[in-house]
Amino acid sequence: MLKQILSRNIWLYLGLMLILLVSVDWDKCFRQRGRYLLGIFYNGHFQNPRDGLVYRDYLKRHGTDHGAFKNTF
Amino acid sequence: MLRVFKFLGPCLLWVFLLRDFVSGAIPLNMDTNTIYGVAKYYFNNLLNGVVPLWDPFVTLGRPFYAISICNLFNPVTQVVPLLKILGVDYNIAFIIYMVLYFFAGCSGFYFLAKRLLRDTRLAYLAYLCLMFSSLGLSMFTQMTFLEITVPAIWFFYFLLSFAREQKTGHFLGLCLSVMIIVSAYLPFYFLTVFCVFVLLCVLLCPSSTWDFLKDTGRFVLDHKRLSLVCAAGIIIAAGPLLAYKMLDASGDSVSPGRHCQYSSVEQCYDRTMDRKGGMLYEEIARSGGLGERLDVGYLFAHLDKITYGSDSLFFVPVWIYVLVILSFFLKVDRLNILLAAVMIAIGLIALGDSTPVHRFLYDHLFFFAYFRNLFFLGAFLIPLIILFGLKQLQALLAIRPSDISRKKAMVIGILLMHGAFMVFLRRFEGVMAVSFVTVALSAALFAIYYSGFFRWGMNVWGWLLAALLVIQPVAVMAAYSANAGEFKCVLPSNHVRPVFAWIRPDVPAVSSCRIYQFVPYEDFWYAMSMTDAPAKVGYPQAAARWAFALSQRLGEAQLAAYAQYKVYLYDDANAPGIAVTGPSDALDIAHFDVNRVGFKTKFDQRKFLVYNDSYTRAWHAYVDGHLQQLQIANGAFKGVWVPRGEHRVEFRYQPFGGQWVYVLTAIFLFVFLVYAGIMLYWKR
Repeated sequence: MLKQILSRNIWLYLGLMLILLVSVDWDKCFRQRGRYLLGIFYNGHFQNPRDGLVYRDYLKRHGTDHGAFKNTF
Repeated sequence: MLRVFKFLGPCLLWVFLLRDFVSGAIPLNMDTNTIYGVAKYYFNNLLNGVVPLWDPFVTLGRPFYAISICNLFNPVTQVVPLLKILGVDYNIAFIIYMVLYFFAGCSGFYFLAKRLLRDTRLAYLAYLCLMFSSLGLSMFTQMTFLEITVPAIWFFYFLLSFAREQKTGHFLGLCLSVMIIVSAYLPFYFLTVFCVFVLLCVLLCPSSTWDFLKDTGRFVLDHKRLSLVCAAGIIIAAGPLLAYKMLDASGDSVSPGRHCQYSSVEQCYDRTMDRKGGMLYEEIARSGGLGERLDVGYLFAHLDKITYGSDSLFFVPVWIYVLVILSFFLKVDRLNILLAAVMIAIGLIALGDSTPVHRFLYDHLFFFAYFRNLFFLGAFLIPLIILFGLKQLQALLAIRPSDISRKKAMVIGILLMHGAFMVFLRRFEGVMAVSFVTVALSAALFAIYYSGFFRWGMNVWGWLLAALLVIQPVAVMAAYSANAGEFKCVLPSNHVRPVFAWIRPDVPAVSSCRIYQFVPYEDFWYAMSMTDAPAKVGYPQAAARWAFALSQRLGEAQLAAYAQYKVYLYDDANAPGIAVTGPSDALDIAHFDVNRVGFKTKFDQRKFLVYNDSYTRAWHAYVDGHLQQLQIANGAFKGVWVPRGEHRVEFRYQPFGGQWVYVLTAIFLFVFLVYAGIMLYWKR
């Protein structure tokens, strides 16, 4: 019975997620990603409102906004 | 007929959706623009009868280092000059080559999936899935993805085939794939993936790996001559890369590998003068990691807003993620573990300094100092995710609930899982409606499949699933094409016979096209049009070492004022030089191509002729065909003493291996392709 339960993909996925959670510096990823989106989509000076949406939404999902992000990083 | 349509139909749909890109109305952007510039320069010169090794137009002359890293010797790439001869312009010819190469990759993926999953219907879905993933879409901004993944896909197909049956054709295919990998771009990305794959195979399937090694050893011993030919082929194919590394090791030029754009000019200068190769860890990790280019939300949200100003598109049809979710409670097997582990390992390496893995590899494996842009490794994740998803589909389709209660349980389970994925998608803003439609249709189709309500044959299911798979990508591709519409402009694509100009221009070429918002127009223009850039080193991408040093000593303005004139004449070492502004009876141009300049001289006294094109030690001077001592003139250029009277003076660029390295590689790859093709199909 236990073998039946343990031989499911879900444990593989959980294991992989655990590896990712433990070994990745997500804060650093967030900073790099935020800077990249800011640099590429905005090209430094808010040129493209449509592209900017991706950047703004990214920051929003991470609980911050453009002003705070630019001041911090 | 149906079989042909089955494979050709998706290609036609793909071309239709991206017609503005394929027709050249939307210009090639970012790295693909650079690669096009390089390919045009190479094939344009080749059709002029010269294998270009030097670029005299930019940075006061520099080695044409990019010849080794743009897939120029691949047999498929040779369609560019063929189409040019048939009257197609370079831009369209290059796009046709890219599209053909991509379709070749999709075909390889079909065979790979067929080998791995042993199911032609699933293999066909894999073919569709790769075709409608970001791998194809991103070719117009980042062709490097194709350069590294297409031969890798074929490599793994032949590896799997050879592991099952040790046929000569499979072995040749394997060798040809390796040859293309080493001659296409830096092979270190593939090497990383291959090392990860081997390591995990040894850990997860030690006995199968050992059996494979024994079989391979036996095959090599039984086919010594063939193995030797293959080894020779791989060495020859590595020739351009070795020439590139020798150029780097010579220290005669600023290596692109040092990436001066990520260090100060002083640091770049010091490293160039100290002849230090490779990159510092900080230079590699500074940008270009997968974490910078990808986030979970980006896999699902705002796919209709992808900009043509970015080269980090990562997208697979949403249905693949649905399949992964549905597989939560399926039985795990070794192939699942292997595929997942390879993906995670590559992902961790590609994340750069966001994990300790890459740093460890940089410290312990030499080749990790020679490549950056780790997000390129993300291109390998696309076929892996697709294979993983379809492997789950195979397991899902194999479940055939026998009684009504099991059927009900399956249907409820399937609907719940789809519902959970819908809720997950709802967390993100900007998910396209078509993604939700795909999930809903998937739920309906699986419910019908497990309920047994309609007894359709597997062929019908195959077509339904294929349609389900492409619905969302079609919408994404249409949106991508519409977004890129604002980038419309024309690239130089005419055949050019380069003409020697005595004076360099004062101002750089400019273009208002939006693709040059991110990279200066002049970085591309001069290679494509074969005209002189202003006399400056500027951003020292592959500049000659002495020219770079002089630009630092003098400053750009003083250097430009001096080197605006390409030729100076001196009566003796202490006399002031006279700038030559055009041809005369005393001095005229006799021959000019990108590797060689010849002058006709008729001086009334012995003169020192300075040609203000960068000096490197691979340049040689000849007077009337006799080798003369070439001197470093005015700190960075080429100078030679010319006797009075009528003479012919030549400066020739002759690096180690010369043009033959590249000619041999192209010929050998072509011959090998034909040989492997014969062995694969005529003798199967």
